[in-house]
Amino acid sequence: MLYSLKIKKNIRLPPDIEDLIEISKFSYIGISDDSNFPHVTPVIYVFDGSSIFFVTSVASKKLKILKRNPKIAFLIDERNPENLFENRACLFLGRVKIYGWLSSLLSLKKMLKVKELFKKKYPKYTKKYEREGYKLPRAWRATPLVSRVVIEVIFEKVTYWRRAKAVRLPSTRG
Amino acid sequence: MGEIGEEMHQILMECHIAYVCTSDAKNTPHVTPVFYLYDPFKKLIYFVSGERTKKIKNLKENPKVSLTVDIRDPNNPFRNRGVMVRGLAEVLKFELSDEFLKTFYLKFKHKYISVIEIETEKLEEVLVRIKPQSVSFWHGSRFKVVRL
Repeated sequence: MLYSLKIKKNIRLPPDIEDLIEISKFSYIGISDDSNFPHVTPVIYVFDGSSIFFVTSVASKKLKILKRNPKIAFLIDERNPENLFENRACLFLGRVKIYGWLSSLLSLKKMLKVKELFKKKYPKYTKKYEREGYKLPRAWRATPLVSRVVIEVIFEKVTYWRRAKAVRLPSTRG
Repeated sequence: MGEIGEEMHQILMECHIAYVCTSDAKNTPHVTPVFYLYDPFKKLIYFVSGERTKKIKNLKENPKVSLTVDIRDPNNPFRNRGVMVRGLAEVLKFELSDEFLKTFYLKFKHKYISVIEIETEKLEEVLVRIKPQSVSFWHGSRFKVVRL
């Protein structure tokens, strides 16, 4: 099963997609630098009902790339570890909005909501960062604005599919 | 020139799913999961894909590729580890008269027996070979990049 949707503003996502976004904990973001070299890294994320948010270090390569090219591919792939063939996945294509100092202050309510969503969705991660974050280099700690930047994914197109396609290989017989 | 370290080899060998990012001529990225095979001796990565897919279309326009394989700990972010490979991809036709492709086929079949569907008629699948240029590795806060 596979379907693609062009997303218009203020339109709710279909329930299968919303459910997948809520259930899944990890995702992969694909971005592309000035020399058209792609870059893919795992991130944790939250969803506020209309956009997806993730955070990154101020020193990260993804932030440097996104500042110059805001296009993003955001993939959620929920897979059954017992049977890799069984999966539900969703690919969001769109652009990002980076919340620097000023935009964070201007969107304070939204930023506080994002922080709460992270605390609720990742309580163990949040606690670990609070307790052991001091062990990390300053740029990688979870301090908002000083070390971490919030990034909003504003998606324009979504593709959803269930069950991985079987790999087809040529027959060795004959 | 650096060497792919033991921890990097281990992740590439033990995982089953890789996330491949390609980019089209307009610099628009695309990410998709793939079943892959890593050759630790030649330091090459392979995956199979339908010829008409977006990733193959992108790779024909722009052979630059990035691939991530990682292992997550849902309780402790400091235990997450993974590798990201950046390199150039080559799209190859399946020719089983080729000894190398025959060997690849058997290794791939062995790793992914449950997801393989044998096709006897017209085959639209292609083989992608990635030659890594650099490998980034992370384990919690530990991070290193090896240029090959």
